[in-house]
Amino acid sequence: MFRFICKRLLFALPNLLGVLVFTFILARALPGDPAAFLAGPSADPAAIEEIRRGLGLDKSLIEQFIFYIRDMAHGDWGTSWTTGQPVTYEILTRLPASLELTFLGLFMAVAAAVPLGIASALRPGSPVDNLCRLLSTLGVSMPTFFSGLMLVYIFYYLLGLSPAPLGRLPAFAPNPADVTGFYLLDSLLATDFETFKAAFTQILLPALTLALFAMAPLARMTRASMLSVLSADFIRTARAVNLPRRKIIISYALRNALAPVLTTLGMVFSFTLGANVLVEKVFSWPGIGSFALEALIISDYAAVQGFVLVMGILYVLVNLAVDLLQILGDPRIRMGL
Amino acid sequence: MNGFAAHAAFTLKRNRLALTALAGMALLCFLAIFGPYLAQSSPLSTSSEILSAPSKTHLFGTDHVGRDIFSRVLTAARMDLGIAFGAVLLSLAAGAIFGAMAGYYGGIIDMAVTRLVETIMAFPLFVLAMAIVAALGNSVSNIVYATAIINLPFYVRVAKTEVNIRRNSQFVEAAMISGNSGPRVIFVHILPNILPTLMVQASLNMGWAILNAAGLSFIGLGVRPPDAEWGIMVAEGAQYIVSGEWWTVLFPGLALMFAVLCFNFLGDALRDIFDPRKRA
Repeated sequence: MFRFICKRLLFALPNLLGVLVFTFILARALPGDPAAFLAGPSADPAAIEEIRRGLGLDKSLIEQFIFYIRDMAHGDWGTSWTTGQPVTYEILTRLPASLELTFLGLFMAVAAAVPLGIASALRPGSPVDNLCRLLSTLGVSMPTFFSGLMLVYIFYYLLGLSPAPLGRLPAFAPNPADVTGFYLLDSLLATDFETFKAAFTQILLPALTLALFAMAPLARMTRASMLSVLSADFIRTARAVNLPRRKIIISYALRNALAPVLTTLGMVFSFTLGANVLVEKVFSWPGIGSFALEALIISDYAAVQGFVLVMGILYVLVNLAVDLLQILGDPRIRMGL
Repeated sequence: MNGFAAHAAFTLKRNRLALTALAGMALLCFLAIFGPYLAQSSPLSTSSEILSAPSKTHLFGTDHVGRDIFSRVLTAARMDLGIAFGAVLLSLAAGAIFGAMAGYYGGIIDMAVTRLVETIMAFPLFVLAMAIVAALGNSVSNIVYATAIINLPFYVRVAKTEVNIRRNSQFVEAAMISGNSGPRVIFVHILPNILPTLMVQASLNMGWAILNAAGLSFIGLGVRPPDAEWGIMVAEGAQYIVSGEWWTVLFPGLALMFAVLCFNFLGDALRDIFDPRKRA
């Protein structure tokens, strides 16, 4: 078992290297000369040259890349020009907001999509199946920023059920004590139900927006995968020996149908990370997406690079986790490795 | 070929949705060509009627500087479809070439192409597109390149597997034995064979390309105000949704959704026509 995990970890390395090479090239290609920027508008060419040497920008690209890898490994991701803080600090303080939103959105999507997919696979052509098809079609064709804004219009403006789409907590509400950075968890840990309720009502609409978007491929895949498993011989046998319906569906069919759904979940996570940027903008969510957008507009290159790197690393890690889950869940994959 | 036409007609007749989507796409293409001439008023001309609700004079209402939203939605079709068409064409061409070469030659070319594709796939694709636009510069043509790059892996994969299947078939061997060069075998003998599969992939991708480009301009990359584009129109209307001016967001958003829906349904229908085995 341990060997398989090590093997899979090794497979992740080239991807991580690819991510690093790309962010390195990106940082070199971003418009604007960092040395000239740091020197200020009144600096003479000699001073700019001095700073360039100080930054190591006069070395060859290969040397620069080695320095770059070393700095990244040491957690030195540069300083954000706008805030004057280290990029790692800026990203780490904002990452929990983004992750909380992404995870809740994905959780809601899975909680809705898997039962819906199963129900429509059990009765193809039924109203449930049509609902599933409608939702998954709308999910892939609605831009997330559009569905988010429409939800705001309906639930905030028309019905008044939701708070204003402005961040994680209402204005002037105290932040819960920082343990995990996830406000929902932190407020529960502090048994502060007032804050939990406030944080929950704030996160509900953005998470729902993400879930609507993430649901479609999951429901589709669950349906297709369940359909093919349900027509297998061993299901017919299970039915013939009159096993309880519940057991056939859950432990015989679903367990076998889950592998492609898990793979899709990894892919959906990637889409959700991208959609997160849009949803964060719509709901003024103080996550790394909003941070990156501000940085993009003023070419704050260390910050943009840090953001892209974090996203790349997150995605590589998630794919790793998905594969490990597959290995744990399915002995056949273990044999194949 | 007659059999094929009959099969296509049969699929379309049975699938009303596909027929509707085909009509919708025809409408969109019509708008992309003639939209700017159909608009009642210039999409850029402002007026004193700020944020007025939909009425007979302004079918879709007006925006925060008094521009007619109906005219802007019509005009924007050209921009949105243009970006998506450009991006899909580019990645189709590049993906077919890379994928075919990787599938045909194998070895080091295959390894290099696979590495490139995996590096692209190692990022959340929308984030990658953001990064590319940031690096290349904030312009419409760079949105096209960025969207093309993030779509590339899908075409490379399809082209590679399809070429791999045909690589050892007799018609390829015959072409090689008669003295055709490698590139000639690929482009003249193999590529025409795999083109239908690639086209299906392209039409399935169009909707996604539209969403992607609109998302990029929603966050302020690419298309600059005051140009009309659906994504940026939604972005401009976004701040008025909390005060109830829904028409600033709804109409450009619906236009976007309509376009994506049409291409998705059409893609599904094309797949049914060309590749009945993969029917969902």
